[in-house]
Formats: sequence, C-alpha cells, structure tokens
Amino acid sequence: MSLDIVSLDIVQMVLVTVLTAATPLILAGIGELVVERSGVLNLGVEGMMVLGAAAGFAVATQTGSTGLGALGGAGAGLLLAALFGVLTVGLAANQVASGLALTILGLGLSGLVGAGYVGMKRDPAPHLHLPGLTDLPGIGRLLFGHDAFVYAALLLVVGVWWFLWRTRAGLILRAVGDDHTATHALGLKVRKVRFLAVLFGGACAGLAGAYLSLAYTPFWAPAMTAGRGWIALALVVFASWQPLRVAAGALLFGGATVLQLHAQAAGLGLPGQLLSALPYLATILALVLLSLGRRRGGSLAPAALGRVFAPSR
Amino acid sequence: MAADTTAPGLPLAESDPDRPPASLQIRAWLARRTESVAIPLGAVAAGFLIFSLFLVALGKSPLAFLDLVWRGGFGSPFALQNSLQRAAPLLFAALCVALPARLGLVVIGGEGAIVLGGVAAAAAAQPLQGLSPLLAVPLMALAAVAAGAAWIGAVGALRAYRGVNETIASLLMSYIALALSNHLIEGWLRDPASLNKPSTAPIGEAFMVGALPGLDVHWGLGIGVLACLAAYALTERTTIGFAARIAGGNLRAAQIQGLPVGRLVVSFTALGGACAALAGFFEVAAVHGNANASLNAGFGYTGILVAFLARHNPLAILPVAFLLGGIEASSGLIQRRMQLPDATVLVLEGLLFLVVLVSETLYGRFKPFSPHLWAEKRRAVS
Repeated sequence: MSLDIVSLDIVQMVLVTVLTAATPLILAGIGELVVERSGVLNLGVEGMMVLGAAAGFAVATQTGSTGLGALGGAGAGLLLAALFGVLTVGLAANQVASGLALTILGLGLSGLVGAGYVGMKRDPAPHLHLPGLTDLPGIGRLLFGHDAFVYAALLLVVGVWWFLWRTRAGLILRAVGDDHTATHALGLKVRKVRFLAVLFGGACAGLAGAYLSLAYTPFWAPAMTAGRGWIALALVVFASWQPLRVAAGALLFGGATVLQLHAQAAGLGLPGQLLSALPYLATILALVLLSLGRRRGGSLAPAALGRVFAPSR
Repeated sequence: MAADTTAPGLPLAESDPDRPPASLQIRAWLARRTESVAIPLGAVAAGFLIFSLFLVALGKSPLAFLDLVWRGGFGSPFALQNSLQRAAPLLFAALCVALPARLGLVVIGGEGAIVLGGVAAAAAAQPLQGLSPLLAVPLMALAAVAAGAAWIGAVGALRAYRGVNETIASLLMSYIALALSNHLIEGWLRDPASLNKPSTAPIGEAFMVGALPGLDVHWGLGIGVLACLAAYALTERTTIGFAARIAGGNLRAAQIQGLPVGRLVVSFTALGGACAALAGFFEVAAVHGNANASLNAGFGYTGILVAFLARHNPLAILPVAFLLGGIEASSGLIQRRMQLPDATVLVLEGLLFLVVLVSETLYGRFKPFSPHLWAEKRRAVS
C-alpha cells in the first residue's frame, strides 16, 4: 500500500515537471494558433517571447510584483506584435520575412532591456496551496499545486477553444483566415480582425516569456527562450490548428524536453542531443501525414494562411 | 510586371497605338534602375536614422556609434579584412535563401546546413589523412556539399511532392541538423583530447585552406564571390534560371507549360543547401581546424537578412554581405567603447530588416521612378 503511494508520488512529480515544461509552449502556441487561424503567419514568436521574458523580469524586479511583471511581459510581446501587425496587416509586407525580422529585433531589444538584470535572482511565482487538497497523495500537487501561469495557460486553451468554435466572433475569425476576399465582400473587417489576432498572439507569447523568467527558471539570461518560440510554431502545425491538440502536443513536447534533461543528468545511455530533436521530427512527420490527409479531402490549415490581403490594390 | 513591355529593344509592333514613345521607354528603363538602387539605399538610411533615435533615447551618441562602425568594420586595412572574413560565410548563407527564392520559396534553414556541412567536412578529413591536400580538400568540400544539398534538398522534395510548407520544414530540419551535429561532435566524432569544448579531431595543418594571395582573408571569400557570380549567371542568363523564375511567378502557368516544377524546386533548394554547407566547410577548413559548437554562430540567420536586403539578387548579395560583415565585425568595439550589450547590433539588424520590408511595398509608388506607369495613368484619365 505505502509502496503504491510512493510510486504514485514519483509519477506525480514527473507529470508536474512535464506540465511546467509544457506551460510556455501552451501559452505561446495557443496565441500563435489564434493568429494563424486568422490567416496570418507570425514567425516572430521567439522574438516576442524573449522580449516578454526580459521585460517581465525587469518590471517584476522594479515593482516587486510578479503579477505586474507578467503583465509587463505580455505588454512587451503585444507592442512588438503591434509593429508586426502594422507591417503585415496594414502595409501588406511579406509575413515570413517580417516575422524573422521581429525575432532578430526581439532578441536585440531583450538584450538591451535585460542588460541590467543579468545574474539577478527572484523568488519564483507563488504556487497555489489549498490546505488538505494540495497535500492529497498522488494527485494533490498535480491538480492544486501550480503557479498562476499554469492555470492561466489551461484556462486560455479552454477559452480559445470555446471562442473559436462556440462564438460568432470566433466564426468570423476563422472565416477571415479561410478566405479574406469573401469575408471582405461580406463587409467584415478583415484587417481589424487580423490585427487584433496578431495582438493577442503577441500578448500570449510575451506571457510565455514572462513565465520563463518569473516562474520557470526564475532569472533572466540573454536568449533564455532557447528556441521555445520555434517549438511553439511547430506545435501549432503539429496540432493541425486545434486548441485542445495544442495542449496535448505541448505536454508531449514538454515531456521530450524533461526526458532529455533527465537522461543527461542521470547519465542514462539515451542520446540527449538526439532526444531534443524529437519534437521537430514529430512535427515534420505530422506535416507529411497532414499532406497525405489533404489528398483525401480538405486541408486542415487555414486556407488564407500567410497570404497577403491588400484590398485597395 | 507590365513594366517589361516598355523595355527598349523588345519587338513591339510598329503600328501599336499604345506603344509609348522611345524617349519615355529609355526614361522608364533608367528610372527603374534608379528605383531599384534608391529605394534600398533610402531604406538603409531610414533604418540607421531610426536606430540613431533609439541610441539617443538610450543616452548614447549615434555619431560615436557610426564612427565605431567605420573604425571597426571599414576604416583600416585590418578592419576591412576582418569585415571581408565575416562576409565570406554570409555570401554562402544568403545564396541558400536567394536561390530557392527564385521559385518563390522562403527557405530559412541555412544555419543547419552550415553546421552539418562543417561536421561532414571534418568527418571526411579523418579517413583522408595522408592523402595529398590537392585531392583531400576538394573531397572534404564535396562531403560538405553533399550533406547540405541532401538536407535542404529534402526540404524542397517535401515541398514539391508532399506540399509541406518549406519555411517551417526548413526551420525544423535546421534544428534537427543542429541536434544531430551536436550529437556527433559530442559522441562518435569527438576528439578525446578536447576536454572543455567538445570538438572533432583536428583536420590537420596540411588540409587547412590558406589565405587569398596578398590578403589575410581565407579562400572562402573568393569562392563565395564566384558562387554569387555563378548564381547570377544561372538565374539570369540560363533557361533553367528562366524556368525557375516562371515557376516562382506563376506556378500554374509553369505547370501548364510543362516545366518540371518539382525537379526545379528540388534542384534549387539542394543548390542552396550546398552553398550553405560550403560556409560550414570554410569555417572548419580555414578558420577553426575542427568542427565544434562555434559553427553555430548565426551566419545562417544573418544570411537570411542579407538575402532579403539584396532582394534575392545574387550580385547585390556581395555589397550587402560586406556591409553586414562590417557591422558585425565592429560589434566588439562598440560593446567595449560604448558600454552597449552585444545585442545592440541585433537591434540595428532587425530595424534594417523591417525598414527594407516596408520599402518593398513602395516600388512603383514614386512618380519620378515610374514615368511609364504615371504616363499610362495620364492617358487613362484623358
């Protein structure tokens, strides 16, 4: 009996670690999913995320409040996304190239913002503690023992799912992403919808970055996102643009990361470097499988994804 | 583009009533050439201006910054050679973006091909030990080229035959290449003598590629310039390049014409990957002497910037790579003298990139640059 509880606790510990590793991916991925559902491909997730991490840490250190730090991170991501929106939605500039530029700019700006904070440490964001419930053996910490970011990420997934599939605004957003010409002809505000979606994606990416610097590590280091923004992009494709699958995929990718770290730490025979390639391999496989599915009928990707909309020309 | 009908020398029917007068044709041609130089130059100037405002906001002097860029990147023979040395890998990395761009593809996975090419070259050097360098060095380059071409060519194949988005696929492949290379460098190929910094065994002094005659810059620069010239000839002066441009402009039309679009996509992406891998080869064979983590220095990403600034024109890549090489060469000096973090150069690069993208939307919008378009409008009104 007691042995069962011990092994349960180990399982719980692993699951908790996986969930913490998955949270930044969920946050950034769900934001990018909304952006891509509106027909815009923003490759600048990494840049918005790393700027969110720097700004979030800076604000939290200055104000002493983790909550304000999270807001600051989300705000920084939103501002950078606004720049992207002006360029791609407003001026109809190339989305792929603008996203790359955004990543370079975000990495640069984060280095400047965070320059004075390298080496500082903060207490991690407080974890929920419900007396009785959190101490439940086996499942207590998994269900009731996380910080606010984790719960926010899970709420966001459910919220975005509900928004996309159960509200009129969500229907409009998906319609804009599938055919901007038709929705424009219907009198819907294509560019406004896309701009708002881009802002939402930026705020989510910024929040994901703030989670890294305020709860996950918790300190600021240059380029600390370490490619998580790109994984989030891959995740959206892997999830075939479905919110709930983003969460599932993030747990899978987060699990691969955790496995890699443990394999390295424990000196197991597993090749850690190759394990880190797993999420990318899985995504390429998913892309190929998706392309096979397309032969049988209807692509899963938003039809207007990445296509420029310029009504006046 | 409608502009092509006004190019001088095109056999337009004499009786064509819509034919613009010859003077206008020449003016239009001149104006287009001026536009294609003036807009990027204006954009770069605007980028520097925004960056200057940014520096002022930080309480730093933009003039001091420019002075340091000049001294660190261009002002002395030493600085110039340093810039050229940094420009060499950028030439190859930019070609990896510019060649597929002819087909309308955006390939951003050059970094992976660079690293993989470097590892392949270092690995190939081991069984070749003892051979004449005249034979071994080209074989090393060949190993690198094969690895890079296969890697990015696979992205092209996924695009051509499975419809997989090449931008995302190339990025994923790049990360897989980095993981694979790290695995090889830290595992199978690791030199047991490299304790703190895992590296492959040295390729040996005999196999090192030397400097260009009279310069302190390695041969990568010379080959890189040749590669750009060859890429220009391929894309602008051959039927294959023409076919690629057609497919990039209108895929459906190209397919109806019977052009082998799939094979074009695979060949151009593979060619791009081969170029990127050459950057890795020269980093190993001319700079480091073995393959290690320094291969992953971000040349692939700066190469994307170079290609876009050059509007994917292989000839324009030459000056742009030199400019960015100079800016990156001066970053250490800027960091020390102005107490700015090294990320400052990234801010400048990001701003330049964004401004150039905005400037892309300006072509044909300025009256002095497009007399033919404005003349047509006048005719349409009257």
